Amino acid sequence: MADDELSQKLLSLFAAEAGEAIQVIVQSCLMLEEKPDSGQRAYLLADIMRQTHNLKGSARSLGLDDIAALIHSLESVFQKVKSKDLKLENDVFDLIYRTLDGVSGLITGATPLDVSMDLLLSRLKMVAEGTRLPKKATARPLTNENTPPTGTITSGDQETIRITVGRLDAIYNLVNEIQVVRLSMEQNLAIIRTMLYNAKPHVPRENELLLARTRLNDLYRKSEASYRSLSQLLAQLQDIVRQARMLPLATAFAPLPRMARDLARQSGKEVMLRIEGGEIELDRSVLEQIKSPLQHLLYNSIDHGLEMPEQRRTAGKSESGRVTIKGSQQGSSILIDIHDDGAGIDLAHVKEHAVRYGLITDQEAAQLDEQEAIWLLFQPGFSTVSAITAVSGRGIGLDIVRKSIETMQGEIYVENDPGNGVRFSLKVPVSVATSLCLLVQTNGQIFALPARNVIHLARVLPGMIQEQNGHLLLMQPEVQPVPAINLAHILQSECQAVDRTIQRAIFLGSPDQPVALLVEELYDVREFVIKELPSHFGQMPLISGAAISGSGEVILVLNTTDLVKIAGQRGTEKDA
Amino acid sequence: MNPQNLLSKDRPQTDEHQNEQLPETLVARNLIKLAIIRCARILLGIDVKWVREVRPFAGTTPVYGLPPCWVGITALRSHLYAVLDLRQILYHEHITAEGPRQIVFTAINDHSVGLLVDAVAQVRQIDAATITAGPTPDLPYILGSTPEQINVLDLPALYADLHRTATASRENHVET
Repeated sequence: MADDELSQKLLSLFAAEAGEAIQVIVQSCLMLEEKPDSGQRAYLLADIMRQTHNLKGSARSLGLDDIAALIHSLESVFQKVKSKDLKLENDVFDLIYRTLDGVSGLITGATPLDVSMDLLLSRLKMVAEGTRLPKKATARPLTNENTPPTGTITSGDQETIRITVGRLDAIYNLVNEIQVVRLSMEQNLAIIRTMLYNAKPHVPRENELLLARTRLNDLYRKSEASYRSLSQLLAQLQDIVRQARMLPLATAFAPLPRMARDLARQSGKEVMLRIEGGEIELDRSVLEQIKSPLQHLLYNSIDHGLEMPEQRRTAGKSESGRVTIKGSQQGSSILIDIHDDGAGIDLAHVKEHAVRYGLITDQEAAQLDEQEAIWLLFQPGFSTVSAITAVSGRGIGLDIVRKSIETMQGEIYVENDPGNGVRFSLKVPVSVATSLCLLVQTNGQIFALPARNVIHLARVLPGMIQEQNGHLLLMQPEVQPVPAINLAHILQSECQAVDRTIQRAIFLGSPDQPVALLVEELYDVREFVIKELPSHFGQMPLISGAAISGSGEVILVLNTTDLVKIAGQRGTEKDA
Repeated sequence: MNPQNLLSKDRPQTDEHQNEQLPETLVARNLIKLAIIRCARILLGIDVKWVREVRPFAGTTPVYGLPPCWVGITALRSHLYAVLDLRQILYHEHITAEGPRQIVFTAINDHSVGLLVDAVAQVRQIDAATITAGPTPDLPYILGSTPEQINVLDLPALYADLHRTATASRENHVET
């Protein structure tokens, strides 16, 4: 998306929000005017102040200085009213409404100002300072020669209509439900096709069964054609709804500069924050879910990662620490890097802390490799900071980040460069509408694995699985042994006593350090709408959601991040 | 807890003072409809406003690591329901059921649970005023009994306990 296009989109969003805010202010003013001494006075004024403050902030962030100036002056008037230094009289209300009209005019460009900008500002200033307005002054039509065009937003050919998020979500959910029905039809058609194919050699010629089969064949072809049309239409509908839900990444990035500034001031550090990729669009629900992880990671980078200026100078770095947040699109995923040039993660300190708090033993700490030690940071309640600071070090930040990302079927990668900084990479889907999943079977139960997390598959031959020091390893010719876990043992399902033969291995994790998930059988890859598990189940390790198959059965979706973590840590597997 | 408070909280309330001045025949009775359910040795009544559907039990997808009262998970019209064995909740023991069973799909606000029961017998309209606090079997989540010995299930209380347990499970996980 070009910068102009992005700006236009943000301006359109502002115009819609401003219209609503002005409406609220006008309504509240009307109520105050009607019943100046009602019990709702304080509430109405608080609401007005909130709306004007937000409006001013939004206008400033978009460089709409004229609008911001008008709203600022209006805010001063309301401040005086709130502190009871100013009584709201008719001429003041006139001025307020005229100012709001002026702001609307500047935003939409539809109605030109009938007063000059400077005159409005001077009148607002007079009122705020307690000076009485000249009589009938606001009734006189004034010229708009001083009104600069900078605040005008043209809608162009992209007319917008505001729709509540709830209504859009309802449409979205309905489309997803139709998608489930489509998947069911697809499966049923496949069954009919197989039955027709299998029935062929057994049906005698020129009898009623042959006629029935011919009719069934015809019906199948027509149903298949209808199904294809339905699929195309549904794909178009889904795309339109998905587009309607798309928002620029800049929406999630917007609060970060202010946060970085505040945190830098609070901690006495100097921070240069650079943000890239704000124009990339992703689904609103994904966007909402990454806001908190992004804020946590930025907090961590500044609070834990970057050194104090004097430490940086001693280390030969610039006094000002650099944090770069960069979004990029990779197919159907969005990759967000949060990279700082701080001290990096002190893994020895991480291990020591984990031992001290009983998360691992001394012996286990000694055996952890770099990634395993880093993963300790994502454990619930883990914190390397002995003193809890105001914004981080509470030991919940990275755990929340992990949970949020996993809920979206996303992944987290961490690159640690001691002395030079850390890069946290979040990989999340552009949209969470449907996901391709690999179906696997273990102990007779079928599970789904998000296909995007699968590196590759392998057939397990006798002798390929070996046990070393309590760990399972998958041995392959000319390749390093890969840590392996038996899904049946991890799930501890009721049939665990049954010794079934492992036939397949699924490689998960990063290509550099894969782990093998051992299962009995693999089935095909299918498209699913992944849903959250019912909330009554509470905390569910290893399971990230559930999908409904074409036949209406529920299939549990495995949490690949948990599986990879367990594969790295587990030393209790006894056999395969 | 007063049974009438719970059962009538979503219904229009009648003005008591107004009723005092009216002939008894004109006083609107607070009628409620109960789905009558057979579960082990007793009859239970569930306010139908919370019942979404009743279906024959045809198995569920087992979910690893849950307490035994949870039978598993199932889907009804693209919505996922956790299925709870009501026998285990009421009697705190596993009683093997004989014959076909049914799932009562219930929902309160945004939360939903499928209740595995022996059978749903009928729907009956009763006057909430006739529900008395006793005699009630020593079972949890029973609001009271009708004169026909139908034990009215306190579904909101059951939901609240399930919610508390789930929340505690999440908090315990974080503290672990």
